[in-house]
Amino acid sequence: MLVLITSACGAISSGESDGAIGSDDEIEPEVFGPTSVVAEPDPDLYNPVAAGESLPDNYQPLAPRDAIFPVYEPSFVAAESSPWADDIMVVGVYLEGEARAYPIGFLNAREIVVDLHRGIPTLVTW
Amino acid sequence: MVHRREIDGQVLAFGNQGDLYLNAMTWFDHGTGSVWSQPFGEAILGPLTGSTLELLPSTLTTWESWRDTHPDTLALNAFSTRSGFGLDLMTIVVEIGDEQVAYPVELLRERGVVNDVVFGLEIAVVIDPRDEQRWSVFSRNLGNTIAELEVIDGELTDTLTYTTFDPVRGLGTGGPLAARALGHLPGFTAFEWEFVNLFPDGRVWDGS
Repeated sequence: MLVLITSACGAISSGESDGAIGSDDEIEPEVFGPTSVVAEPDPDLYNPVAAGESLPDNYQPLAPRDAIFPVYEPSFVAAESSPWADDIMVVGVYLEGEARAYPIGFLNAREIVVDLHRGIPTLVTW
Repeated sequence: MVHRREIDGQVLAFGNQGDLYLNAMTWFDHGTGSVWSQPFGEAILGPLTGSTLELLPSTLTTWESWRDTHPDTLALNAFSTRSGFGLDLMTIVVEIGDEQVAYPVELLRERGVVNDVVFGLEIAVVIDPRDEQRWSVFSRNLGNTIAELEVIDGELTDTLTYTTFDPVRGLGTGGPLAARALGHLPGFTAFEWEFVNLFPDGRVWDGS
C-alpha cells in the first residue's frame, strides 16, 4: 500500500524540486502538457457566412476565422512555478479532482483555450 | 465560460469565428464549420444549428484566492504557448471614467511604452521588453511624483528619477524609488475596428 502511495506522489511532484535550494532563477519549471493537441482547421472547412447563408438579426461579420488565434496546445506549470501576481484574475476550473487556472489577461488576448481536462474535453473562453 | 466540447459523444474542436452575434463572441467547430454563439453555447448557423454545449462550473477569482482553495492547481503556461496570432493587429484599450483610448500594438512596439493621460489620470501602456506578447497598463502616479516611463537598455525606467520597474508586476526593481510600485490598471485588447464600433467617441492613439 505504501509503495502505491509513494509512486502516485512521484508522478505528481518532480523528484528534483526537493533538493533545489537557491538559484531559483535558473530552474526551468516543469511543464505539463500539452494537455490537448488540436490540428488547425482545414482552410476548406465549410463557413456558413462565406457560403452566403442568411444571417440572423444582430449577426455582424467582423474578422477572418482564427485572426485571434486560439490556444490549441495548452500546457501548464505548477502553481509555485507560475509568475503571476497574487491579484490577477483567473478563471478557475475544478474537474475530476484537478484544478486549473487560466488568467483572464491572457484570455483577453487569445479568447479561446481548447483543453482536455482529465479526460473531459473543455473549451475555456472569455 | 467553460463548456464541454462534446455533442452526442462526438468531441469537437473549436476555433474563433471572429464575428459578433448580439455583440458577443462567435466560434466555429472544426468538425462541421457551424457557427456558435459563445454566451448561449449554441450553434446558430450551419449543420449543427440548435445544438448546445453543456456549461461546466468555473469560478472567476484572484490567483491568490484560487491557490488558497486549490493549492495543487495547475497554472496555464500562458506566456510560452505557441503563438500563431499577431498581437500586432490589435489595440490595447484603456477605459477610465467615460474616456476610452485604443493604443495600436504595432505603434506601441516601436517605443515599448506610451505615457498618456486618460480621464485626468496619468497612465502608461507598456510592452514587456522581454516578451512582446505581454503588456500592462499602469498608473504613473507614485504619490509625490508622476513617472515618465521609457524603456532604456531593456528596462522600464522612470526618466525623472532613474528608478526601474518590473514591466509586468510594476514593482520597483532599482533606483531611488525602488520601494514603490506602479499600480495596475485594467485594459483589454480589441481590433481597431471593434473599438471604433464600440466607442465611436473614443480616441485612437496615433503614436505622437
